[in-house]
Amino acid sequence: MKNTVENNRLQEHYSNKKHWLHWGPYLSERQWGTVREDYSPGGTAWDSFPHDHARSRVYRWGEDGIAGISDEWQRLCFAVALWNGKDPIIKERLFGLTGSEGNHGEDVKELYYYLDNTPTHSYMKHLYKYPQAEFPYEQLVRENARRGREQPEYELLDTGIFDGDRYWDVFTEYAKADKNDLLIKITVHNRAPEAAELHLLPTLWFRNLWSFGLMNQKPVIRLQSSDGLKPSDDYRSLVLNHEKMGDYFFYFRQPEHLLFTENENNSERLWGQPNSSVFVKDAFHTALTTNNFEFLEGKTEGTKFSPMYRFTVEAGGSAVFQFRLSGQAVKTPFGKNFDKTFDDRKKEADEFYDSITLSNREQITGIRQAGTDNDQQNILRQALAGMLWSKQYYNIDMPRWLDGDPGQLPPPEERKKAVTTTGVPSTTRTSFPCRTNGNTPGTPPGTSLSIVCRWRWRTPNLQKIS
Amino acid sequence: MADAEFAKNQLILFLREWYMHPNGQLPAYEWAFGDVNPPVHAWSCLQVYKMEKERSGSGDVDFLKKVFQKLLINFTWWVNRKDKNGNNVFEGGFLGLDNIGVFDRSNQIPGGGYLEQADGTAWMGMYSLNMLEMALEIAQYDPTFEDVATKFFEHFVYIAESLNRIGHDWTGAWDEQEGFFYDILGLPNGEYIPLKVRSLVGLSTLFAVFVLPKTQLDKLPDFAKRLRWFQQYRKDNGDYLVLDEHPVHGALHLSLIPKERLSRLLHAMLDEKEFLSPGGIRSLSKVHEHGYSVQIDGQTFGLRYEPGESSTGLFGGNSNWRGPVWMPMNFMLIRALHEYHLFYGTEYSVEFPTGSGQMMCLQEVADALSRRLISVFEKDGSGHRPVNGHDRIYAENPHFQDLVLFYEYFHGDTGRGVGASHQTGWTGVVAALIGELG
Repeated sequence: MKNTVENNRLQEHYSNKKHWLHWGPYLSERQWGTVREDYSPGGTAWDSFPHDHARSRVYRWGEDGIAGISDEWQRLCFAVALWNGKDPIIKERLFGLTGSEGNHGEDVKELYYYLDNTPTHSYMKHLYKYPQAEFPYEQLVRENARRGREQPEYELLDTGIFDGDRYWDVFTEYAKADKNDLLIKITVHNRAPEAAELHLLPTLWFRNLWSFGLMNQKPVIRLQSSDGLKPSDDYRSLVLNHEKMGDYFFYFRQPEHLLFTENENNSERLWGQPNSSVFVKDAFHTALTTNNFEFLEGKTEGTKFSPMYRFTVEAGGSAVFQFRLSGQAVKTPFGKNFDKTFDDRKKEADEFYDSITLSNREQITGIRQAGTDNDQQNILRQALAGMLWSKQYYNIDMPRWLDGDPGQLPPPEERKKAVTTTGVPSTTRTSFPCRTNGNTPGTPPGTSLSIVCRWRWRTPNLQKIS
Repeated sequence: MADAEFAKNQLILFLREWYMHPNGQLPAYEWAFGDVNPPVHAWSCLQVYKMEKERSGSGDVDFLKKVFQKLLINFTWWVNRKDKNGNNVFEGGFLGLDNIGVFDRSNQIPGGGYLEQADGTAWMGMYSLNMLEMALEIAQYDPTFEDVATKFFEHFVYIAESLNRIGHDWTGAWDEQEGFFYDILGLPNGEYIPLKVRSLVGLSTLFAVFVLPKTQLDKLPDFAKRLRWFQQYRKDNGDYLVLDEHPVHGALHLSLIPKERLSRLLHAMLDEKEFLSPGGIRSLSKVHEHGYSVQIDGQTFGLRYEPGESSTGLFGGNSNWRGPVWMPMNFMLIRALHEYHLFYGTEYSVEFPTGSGQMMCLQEVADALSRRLISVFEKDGSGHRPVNGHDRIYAENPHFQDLVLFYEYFHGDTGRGVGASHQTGWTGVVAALIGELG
């Protein structure tokens, strides 16, 4: 096997020389509706944390987003949010039906594709197709509920929303300049026959561990006030401080709005309890959909941040946005090296996949044998990209999950019974801890990553349990 | 294929103290940790080990040792918990095949009975062979493992015998008249009712197969000696031998299926009127198109071939095993065919498809199956991929035509993708098939 640059990185990683896998696509696509987030008395996970809560409610065990990444302990996350100006909610996460909402109800109702990824995540590419017309949330729910089991699912394509090509192709790419230095490129194509407007919100946030007694100090994302003030500066920057991660830096071009908020519950919306501050998890959603940015103005730090870009792209045109997230301050974050790094990582990804799929002879001569099927190579590459994109941070601490967190309301007692009747061995409480979270001392790095299907896995329905 | 170290770490993770129950059980899934999925962990460990050995020239024996120790505990859990009658015939419940039976195999066994499962037994046969293979591989470097190899060899022999033969406490899962393996329902009055559903449950008996080359056997004199003794002992007692020795190259062959039964099973599996579809092997035979039903305790239970959507609400999510093609099971069938071929070679051939008159050795059958599975994702002459079903946009729109989705399973007649559209973990295994044929 040819020794490629990607192979060298793997070698460095597994010989503990350089921790290349620290950052990766470990952010889930759906944390709502999972058993981990279910604190209901009867084990009704889908109903107790629905999609409709996700934008406003703090997660306990993990985070989610579109085309997103996180560090291996999921302390800091980055994902892409969008708004077409028509949807009732901003698109921060994929939409899907719950178990009881239709045939294959647990499936996602979106169009997205894993196009490329390498084992060290040195290069990653993701495509999300976002309709320009209002996203048919209600129509999907209604029609799937109407159809019986024997009929095929009613999918997003069936709604006709992509007819006439009125949608955005949103390509999200990552390239690692170093193990903790990630270049991010978002390319947006307007596939429609006329110009259209889009809001882009690349979002950075800390997982809320402070509310559950898992951190001493609340982390902070803070605007660096000196950048962007001199005429020569073509970018702004943030410093991100977390007690376990040290300082990180985030670079971005001047947006229309600098949005800061906190990753905290909007208790008012969820439970009719007054909020202690207006800076809640869904503040960006509120600002955009009500076109009111005033209440966020002047806030220059928080635990959730997005630079908001609003722009128009002509028919068939595209726009490119660059970002950089780094564990060290960078002097020229968007210099010539930015594009070159992307080119290099892409080329190295090609070499890596050639090394595992082409014959020795083809690798040595560089000449592909007649019959090397390009369509098959494309299928293979996307199949493996899908597996690598499917790595997700998975964390559950069973005793803590059952007993609740200090300083929080204890979960209902019936919940423990619901768990026992699911057939979990009766010793569950004391000796079945899936203790893979970062706060377990001595847990070797990387143990929290599991390859599981990003959207759903085998899930017998809960009716038979209760 | 892409990152063997990561795969090994994941496999070790599942065996860690914080995943595996102290009693040896591996959790099935989040909704019900205590449910039981097929015991494929040892098989996975071996796949990764062998893949890496082939690529890099040396295998990670320490990894094998590490997982072997933990798997011993899990194997023992199975033996002690899922063999109700102590007859080497196993239960297990749904075993990942949600609605493949006429009733939910995890619950509500009608008539107050219990189910002796052909697939549960086959999986355990495979598990024994995986453990045997691991022990023999490790023994090449560490002779202390030779001993435990004998244990798994003997264990496998008992399972193979139970599945195939009528014993004093068991009727056997093989139906001679119909040439297929079935689940058997045991009723409280001691009566056994075979549930004659022709499905992957019966075909899964193919998974348990292992060929030990003579060169490797010669390096393990102690194991060879014990094996010969056991063989002689059984011969003397008139027991079914299970073990086959190749007359020419001397390799040893262990499988759950005697050669004559293999031919009959493959005859059904490779028949387009039964299991063989354009996109791979179906989960249920098409002979059940008009339904199958059985009377148990005054109630009628039944199912029929449903190639796309299932009409039952047995499990959430409508994962349909009554006809569609499932990639992971096809992958395991292909792996098994390769192993059979190692022993039978080119002299043994079967008709592919059944009735076509075209004879193929098992290697060729495996490749032909691979090509059918890959074809589900490939563009046809008009640029259409069968996986996309009626969604013409993928064939017609340049911004869609190179995008590929990896669905949960595939329509048993057309190959259309059904269920979750990003079941990348197991459907993505098609990458390995492309890699092998490429």
